[in-house]
Amino acid sequence: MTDPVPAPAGATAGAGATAGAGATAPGARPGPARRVAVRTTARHPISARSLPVPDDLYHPDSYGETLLHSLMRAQLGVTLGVLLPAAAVVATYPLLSVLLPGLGRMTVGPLPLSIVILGFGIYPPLVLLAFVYVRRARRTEERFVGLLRDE
Amino acid sequence: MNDYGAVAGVVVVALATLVVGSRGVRVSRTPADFLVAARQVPAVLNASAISGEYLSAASFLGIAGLALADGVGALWYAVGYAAGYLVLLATVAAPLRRFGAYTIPDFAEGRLDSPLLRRVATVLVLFICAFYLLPQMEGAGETLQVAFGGPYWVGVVVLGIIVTSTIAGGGMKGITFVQSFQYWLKMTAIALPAVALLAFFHHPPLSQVSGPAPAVFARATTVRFPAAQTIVVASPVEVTLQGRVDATSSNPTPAPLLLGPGEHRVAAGTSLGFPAGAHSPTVRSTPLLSASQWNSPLVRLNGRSVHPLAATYGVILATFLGALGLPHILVRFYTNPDGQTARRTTAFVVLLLSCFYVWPAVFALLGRLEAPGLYLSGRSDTVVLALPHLAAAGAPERILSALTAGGAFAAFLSTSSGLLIAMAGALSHDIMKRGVRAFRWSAVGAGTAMTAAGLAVAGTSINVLVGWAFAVAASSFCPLLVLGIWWPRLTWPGALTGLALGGGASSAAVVASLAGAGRDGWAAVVLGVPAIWTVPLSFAAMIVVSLLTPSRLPADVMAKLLTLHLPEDVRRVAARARR
Repeated sequence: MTDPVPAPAGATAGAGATAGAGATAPGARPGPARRVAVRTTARHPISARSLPVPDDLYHPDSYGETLLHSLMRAQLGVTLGVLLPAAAVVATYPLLSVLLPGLGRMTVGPLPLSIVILGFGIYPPLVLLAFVYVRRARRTEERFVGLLRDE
Repeated sequence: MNDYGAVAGVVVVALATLVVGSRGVRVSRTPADFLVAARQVPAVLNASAISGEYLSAASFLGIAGLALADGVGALWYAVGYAAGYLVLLATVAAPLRRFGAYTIPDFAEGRLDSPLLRRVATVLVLFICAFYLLPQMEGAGETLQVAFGGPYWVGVVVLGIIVTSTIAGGGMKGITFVQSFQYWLKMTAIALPAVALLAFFHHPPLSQVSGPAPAVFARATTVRFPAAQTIVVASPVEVTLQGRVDATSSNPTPAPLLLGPGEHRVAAGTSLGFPAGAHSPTVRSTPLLSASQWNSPLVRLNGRSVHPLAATYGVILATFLGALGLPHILVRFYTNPDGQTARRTTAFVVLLLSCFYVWPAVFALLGRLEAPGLYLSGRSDTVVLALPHLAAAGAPERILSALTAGGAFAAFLSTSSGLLIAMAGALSHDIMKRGVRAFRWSAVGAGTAMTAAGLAVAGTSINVLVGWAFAVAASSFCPLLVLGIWWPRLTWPGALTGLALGGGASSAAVVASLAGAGRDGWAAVVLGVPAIWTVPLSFAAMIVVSLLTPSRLPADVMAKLLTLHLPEDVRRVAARARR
């Protein structure tokens, strides 16, 4: 057994921190001591990575909750921004083919429209949406990290 | 039919798999190596491994066959199998990786603090995997049967032995190389023959797809009938008979026979040789589709057009949402180093799958133009294997059929490996005590059990079974993961109710369909494509019951959500700060 074996989810960083906070009395703030620790890290040369935040985030009553919700909302926006257009296209094509029978007789070159769409044409937009999502999600996270750094 | 090209293709794939897999044995040491390849797999390698694992018998053989038999609407399965990864990418890929659990049951317990939920999820994992593994076993049996002409059990047992020994030996790290190797193998094995058949061999002009159904044998063709069939002959045709038609029988030496107009009963195992230019008879049970029926972009159920719009939406829901609930795929996402890499990996999977799914459509198209015999024998499932024989001759025929048979075998191998890893992981990690020994014994036990089951299911349709595995996954794990990641108020009683109702209802519908219920009307839709009602049911049950049981919220929901959504950059500093 070597160290890359991660503990199951319950024991990951977040849960552990909160459990620790819960063990102390709510008034006995463990915060100040930890803030010193963070500043110590900040003196290390990797300035971009030294963020003066995370431990505070784990406190139930801290601004972490607000920040988390804004991060989740932003990420959900990115998700819907990709999935809704995809769903719109996918959901309307079968419906249109029933409402407009003329669509079934259309051809593209020698091939019927249906096989051109379902066999080939639908894939490039799918791939494009996938890579657009990766990019937007990364940017959202970078913005979030930047926000914390300004804090 | 003793097809040496195909035999060679299968043997090469089997040997190559063992060799590439044995590389993994030497590098696998810790349980983390076995289960998640120590989380050190780079994005593109991981993406081709995920794609290699995902492209099963249903993708390699099933889609082309179903599209040939039921029309273009069946390509929705291919679209959905690929698009499922877009949904997975945008909803669960990065958070799941960041949560840091090995399996779906791990996630269920870690997120909602309920050991009971974990046990229910484990049972569902085993159920979905078994459902998915059976058609792979069966496909392997049939492919080798077509290639070797030997008995069905050979393919099942060969597959069982290779898969079980690779996994018990090398675990996940060994299999990562094997899976990604098999993606490229499958891609070559389907694209190359398709391009060759399209470009270099004579076929009727493509525009004939919009014309009447193929009715004339372009060249002398032998049609083998694996099951008894009633055929309808329009104009008299002189055939070579080996087997039995009506009361005439000639076995084992073939004899000429004049088939008059009218219905004829062909016995199982019979071969009929048709001369070039002969008009093809039709099959009474499944009439040939007209051009406008075949070109329709809607799904047909049981070969019939019953409520096609509802059936289409049912297939879309099941396939788009099912991929993210497949246990053998999710286990792969934990092999990414971090959340953003998990996203990149998934985007590459969408790309790789899209490149693959173009080719089954080409085979369906060529099959429609080329091969009335495939309809006739009821073996449209084998169009990918049979087309090289129909369209080419001599050395090219053997090379192309070696490729398609090898690719098909690779499809069974890689998907079965992934499923067996998920089953062995669930058994050893969630039920027995953890560790390498437990994993190995679980793999051997599950592999043996599934091989035995594979021997028992000869003769059910590959596609239908896989489609149902997707429906069950979409109605159980999909809502659990999506709500667990994005909705803070999910509670374990809610999740449990959703899993039980959605998973239970879709499984019941599947079993009822298997038993032959609901052949027509709305019953066919309700039982045949259950996702259309079980997915909303499962989501609704989880939401309603969670709102009714707010007291069961885990105390540290916030911390759990932070673990799911916080980028690693932030967390790394947090960890350092705490020390």
